Amino acid sequence: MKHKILIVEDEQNMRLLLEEELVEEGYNVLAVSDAEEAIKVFESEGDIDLMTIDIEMPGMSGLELAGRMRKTVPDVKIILLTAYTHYKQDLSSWAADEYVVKSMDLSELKNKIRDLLRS
Amino acid sequence: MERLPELLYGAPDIILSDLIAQIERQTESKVTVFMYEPYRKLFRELRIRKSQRSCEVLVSDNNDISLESIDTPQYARLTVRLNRSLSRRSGVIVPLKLEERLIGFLFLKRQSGELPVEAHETVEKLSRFLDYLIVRTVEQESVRRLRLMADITRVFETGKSIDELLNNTLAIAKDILRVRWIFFFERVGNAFELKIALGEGENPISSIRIELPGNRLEQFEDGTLQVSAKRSKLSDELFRQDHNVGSFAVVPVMVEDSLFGVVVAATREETKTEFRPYKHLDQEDFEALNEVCHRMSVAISRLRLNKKLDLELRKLKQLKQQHEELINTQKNQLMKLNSIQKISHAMRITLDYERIVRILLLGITSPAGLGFDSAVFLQKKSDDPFLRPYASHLVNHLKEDEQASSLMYGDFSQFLLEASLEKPGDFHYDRANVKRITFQGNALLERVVIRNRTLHVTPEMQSHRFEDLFQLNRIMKSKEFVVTPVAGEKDVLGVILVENHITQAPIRSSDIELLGLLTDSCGTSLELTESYSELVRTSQSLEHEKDRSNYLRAFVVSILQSLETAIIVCNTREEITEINRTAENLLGVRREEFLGENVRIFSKKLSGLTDLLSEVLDSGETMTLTEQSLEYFKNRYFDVRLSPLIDDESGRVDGAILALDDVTRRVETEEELQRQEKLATLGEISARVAHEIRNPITIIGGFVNRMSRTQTLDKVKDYSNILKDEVRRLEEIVEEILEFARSRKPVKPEEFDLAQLVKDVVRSFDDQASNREVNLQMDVSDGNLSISADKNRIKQVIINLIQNAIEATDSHKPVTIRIFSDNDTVELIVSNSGVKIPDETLKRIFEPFFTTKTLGTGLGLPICRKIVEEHGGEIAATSDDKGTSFRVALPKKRDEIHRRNRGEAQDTNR
Repeated sequence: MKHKILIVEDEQNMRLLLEEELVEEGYNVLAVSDAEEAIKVFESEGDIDLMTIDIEMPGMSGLELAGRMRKTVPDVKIILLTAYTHYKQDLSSWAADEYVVKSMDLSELKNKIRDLLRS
Repeated sequence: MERLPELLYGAPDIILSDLIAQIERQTESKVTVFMYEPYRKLFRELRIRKSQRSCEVLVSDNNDISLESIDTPQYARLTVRLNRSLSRRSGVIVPLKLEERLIGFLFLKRQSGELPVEAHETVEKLSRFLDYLIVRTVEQESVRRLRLMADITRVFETGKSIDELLNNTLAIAKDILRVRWIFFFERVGNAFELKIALGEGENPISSIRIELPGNRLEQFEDGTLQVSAKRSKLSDELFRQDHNVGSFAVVPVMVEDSLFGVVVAATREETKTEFRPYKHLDQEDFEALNEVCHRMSVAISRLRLNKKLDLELRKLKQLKQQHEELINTQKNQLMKLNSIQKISHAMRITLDYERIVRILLLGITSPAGLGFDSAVFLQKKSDDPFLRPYASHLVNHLKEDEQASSLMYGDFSQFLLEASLEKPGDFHYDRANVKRITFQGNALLERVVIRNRTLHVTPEMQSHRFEDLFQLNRIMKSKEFVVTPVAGEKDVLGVILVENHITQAPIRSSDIELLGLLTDSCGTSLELTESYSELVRTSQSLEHEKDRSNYLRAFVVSILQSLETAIIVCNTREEITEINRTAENLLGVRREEFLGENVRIFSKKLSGLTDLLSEVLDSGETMTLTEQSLEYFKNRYFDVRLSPLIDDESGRVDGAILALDDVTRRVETEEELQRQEKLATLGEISARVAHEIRNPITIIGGFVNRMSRTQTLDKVKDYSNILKDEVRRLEEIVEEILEFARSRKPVKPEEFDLAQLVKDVVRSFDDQASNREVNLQMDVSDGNLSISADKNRIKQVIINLIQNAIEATDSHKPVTIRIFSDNDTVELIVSNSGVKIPDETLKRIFEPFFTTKTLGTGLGLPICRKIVEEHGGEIAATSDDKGTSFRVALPKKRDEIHRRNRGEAQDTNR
């Protein structure tokens, strides 16, 4: 069975890149552009195994979304994906399972997704 | 003779009957007795029994008899009237005479005038007896009247009021006249009102108020109308229609020549003991009543006079009392005046503010002084807008004896001086918690404090000046009090409040006058005290001054020597007058060797500073040079200050001071700091830039990777479009960063119409706006909207603001752009109809790299701000539920821009 992944990313081109790469990896991929939409999708789909969340987004930030997801659905895997390194020091990033800095080489992200889904 | 007592005391009718019966026997005929009533000129039948009705025989020409003809017994025919009916009788008339006086006649029912001799004797006997009876009755009546008159005299003597007098007198008059009723009508204008009615049975008076025509009144007043008639016009006016009044008499009562009232006596009543041939009131009765009324008038006059006298006497007593009071008041005033002198004296010789106030308070409340119950002193300092309670004093009635005794032995002044010193506790201000009183704006208090007038507050004033009195009423316990200014020559120094809340004694105007005298005296004393303490202070401060100047001189010298600033002082001839230790070390010289030398001896070491020193001596102006390097002192920096020494009194330049601060260390530190700061800023910006471009780089790298793996041409096309987008974005970021990071270039201004520029920009947004269905509206005001500015940069600002506004606005909503002129500036306001920006965000909206948008560097608005500020303008943002507005204000004139640019340029150079 295919694992289901939800991408939360406000930038359209980035969202497209992640979607295509992860579909190619063999996952069932859903993508939304903000946190509110992500919560809605989660309510309708339910069986999502993993989320990649961008931190800097208009409206609710990725950190807040991660915190909320962790409370409501404790067993979903969460990866914070951002251009900034300094959020790693932010205590509110505790909710995430992994923290990945954006890079043109997406192998780190793919490896971490595989590790998390295997465990 | 033995029958006489009986005759006297009650039964003349029996004797009469006997005598008549005897004559009847002797003449053998029926006898009737007729008595002559001279008053009415008729003969009336003598009634022997009460039930008998009596006939009358009128003496008139048409009758058979006349007074003259009745001389001897004779046969006659008589016309007899009984009530209203007349009848004729015939018989013999026998005259009853006594000493030729006709008393009456006997009527014998017979034909012959011849009578037996013994009958003549009996007739004479009867005449005598009748005469005796008449005379006796008259005498008895006289005696009785005399006695009653004596009673009246007593009544007049003892009568206290007119009513009592009238009542008692009329009661006696009723007795005298033997009438059934007696009335008194008081005259009220043209009418008479029934005031007293004595008598039994039904009152026959027609009305208690009887109006009489004026001429009738006059008749009364003349005394001409003295009526005693049974049937007359007056009787109809006085009595009821169905009255049973017999004869009546009306007599006026004149008091002091005017008609006071009338007395009406009605219906005479007979008694058994009395023999009177007729039953009506006769002339004598009338005169007797007249006499009584006349005497009563006199008595009433007397009573009135007495009353007047009493009144006068009372007035006199009152006057006397007032007079005595006046004398007492004057005595009191004199004593108080004397006290005021004593109090003033005590205040004058006291030179202590507090004690003067205490003496004033004591003087006002002391029974030996003005004797008020309490006094409060409110202080008014010259620059204080409030009155402040300072001290108060309350009279202590328990201590009055103590005071009195202490006054016995000493002078009042002395007492005040001691009392003001001894018990400061007595003067504590203990009234309601009022700390200060505002007088400005209070009409009443302004009168007192500013116009120096006394105010007497009365209970009547309380209600209609309630607001003005509110503050004072919190202090005062009574509704009545006096507010007096305590004024010196120049100024009002305070206010005194006095009241009598314990004794409740009214405050008299004389007391207020005395209070005024006292407060004036107090004001003068207080002013004197101030002058005195001023004098003391001045002399003390002069001594202090001397000490201080000595101290300061030593202080200045030691400071000068220990300063780290090098100081060289010279006079107008440029001769050195002082060098401090630091200057010695700097120049490598010794002070003593160079004092008096020309300062130019150091011109080599101090480079051009000696020339500047000459300039300062000429111009008298201070010069400063910061971080100056001197040729002689390599790699060292100095802050230099050249200042003139100016003589305080003449204002002339006396010399100059050259001060050199070695700031080398500071300059070096600052330079290091600036380097560090630049590095730090650069680091921060680089970090931000790096983050900003990481996203595009990730996307570009990611898709380039995908492109190398993909086979389809369509995909390659899609990807290369994405790559183009991202590369363009990178370029934009770089441009914005460069724009933001470029150093401030001077503005190259040109004159153009801002409205026209905005119109051009709006036109270029037409497509974008219609795509998003946003309504772009312009509102341009009339007038000159030209500005002098860098057109391209201003255009950049306008583009940025309109772009932002369109992006923030939902479809079918308006974006408005207003342009208008305000004095020296032209203003541009761009408003959108978007959601409210939270306050936290609004605060940071002009910070570099702050953004809430997905795409954007966060440099747009900071760049706008930079451009506007370069033009000397202002930009601000406001946001509410209706939307967000950006307001740009730009100055119209070039000068303004230049000035601001220069100022900022200097700022940035430091």
